Amino acid sequence: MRRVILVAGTPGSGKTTFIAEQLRRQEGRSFYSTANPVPINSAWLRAEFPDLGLVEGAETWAEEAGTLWVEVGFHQKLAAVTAHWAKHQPERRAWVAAGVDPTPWQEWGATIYTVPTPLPPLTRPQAWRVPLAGQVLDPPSLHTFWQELTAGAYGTVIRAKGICELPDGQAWAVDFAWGHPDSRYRVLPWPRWLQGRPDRFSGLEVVGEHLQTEALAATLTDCLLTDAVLAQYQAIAAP
Amino acid sequence: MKFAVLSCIHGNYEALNAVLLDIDRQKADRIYCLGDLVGYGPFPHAVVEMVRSLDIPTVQGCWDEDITHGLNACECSYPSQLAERRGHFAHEWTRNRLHEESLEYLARLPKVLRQDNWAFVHGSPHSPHEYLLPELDGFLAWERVLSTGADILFCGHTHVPYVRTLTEGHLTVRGATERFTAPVKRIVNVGSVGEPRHGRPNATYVLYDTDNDRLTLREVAYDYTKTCAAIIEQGLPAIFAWRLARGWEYAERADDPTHLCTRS
Repeated sequence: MRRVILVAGTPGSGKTTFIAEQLRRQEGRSFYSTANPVPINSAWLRAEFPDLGLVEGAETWAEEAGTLWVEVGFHQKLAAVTAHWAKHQPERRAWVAAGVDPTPWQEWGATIYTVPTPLPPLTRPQAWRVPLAGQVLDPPSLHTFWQELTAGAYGTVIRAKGICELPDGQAWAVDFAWGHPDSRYRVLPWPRWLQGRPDRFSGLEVVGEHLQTEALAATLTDCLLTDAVLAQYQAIAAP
Repeated sequence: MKFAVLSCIHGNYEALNAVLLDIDRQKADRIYCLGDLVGYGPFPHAVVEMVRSLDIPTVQGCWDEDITHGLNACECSYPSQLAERRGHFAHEWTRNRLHEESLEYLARLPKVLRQDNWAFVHGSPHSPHEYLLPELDGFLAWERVLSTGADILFCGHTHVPYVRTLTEGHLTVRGATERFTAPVKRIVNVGSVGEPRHGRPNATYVLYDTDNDRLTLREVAYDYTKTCAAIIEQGLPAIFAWRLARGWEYAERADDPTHLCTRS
């Protein structure tokens, strides 16, 4: 059996969490696709489901038996995404925040999930994404940056997520959604990287409005460890 | 007699003016200042000039020392690389804006002032960089107060005000027959005028009435938005304004009561 399920909706409403729950229950092969150039969700899901197949787009989908979950970014045009996958007769599932004016997702979705996420009204939502592969962050600096970011120092943020490499060799998933008082942090089940710069994916994505991207970039840059400092940390951490 | 003790102005002229006005209303006879006149805030020179012109007895803070003697703090000064970079930027910015006479004034400030049974320091009697946090080990707290010979030690530096009473204690030296009895001592942290860290932008200082031995923590609201606007206008990082408006310290943060500064 082959299924293609498009999942779209409000940022921070739990789409990836829902997909992960389905993957835990699902039998048979599963696949995941996203158009996000900094594919944090892919990395999160692959960390928990190493057998999850990643698919770049409809043209590379070999129609294998199994279920393909396609996560649609808030910035993507729904009609274009639907047309892209049309020949696979995709299911359309939409996540919308309760109590907000009708959004294109309500009209588009065949199945609607309403979630109690009290989002602020954004007139021009934007995303700031930064790949961080090879970069290692100073942990207390990351703490300060994340605290400022999620408290609105660099604009209104409704969603922030990322994978950050720390000098003890661990990669941390960081996750903030508007309406939740605390960010979530977890160590990814990846091998510790204790020699040189990590040669694997890491990155950040921030969704919000009036984002001060230059200030964001400057602050994040001040959190990154130099080669010399990283070498000192790794010398201490080395077995 | 009633005197006021203030600390950690950090170039925040608006906050200093508001506090001085409040002190005047409280009819204090004297003012002491525990240093850190400069650093992070947009008006370092004006603050130094004000304190100088009022002839306020003042001790040297860690920023006052660094700005005149160069950066050489121990690791307790900055809790993160980000804080250190922000601090160093502010250091250069401040250094370039202070007039020579202000630098000379800051360089000549004493590290400890004694008056009657009170001592005034910025961080601790050992170093203006050392934090006397309220959770500091009791023996160390005793040692710091006793080293001054005073009954009340007034300090700042942590930017969070508190009063700690060290009640009468007994100390027996192992292997010796002598037993020492230490009288009641107090550590009074007066908070910060210009860079609070108590979750509100208001300035804090302390009033001490010697007649009835009464300590009063004063929290003074002022138009912090003027300071925030000046931070941005003067070319300091906008994040300083954002943090000041929330009563978050600009960059430094003391949270390890076991750390003793290695800088003398």
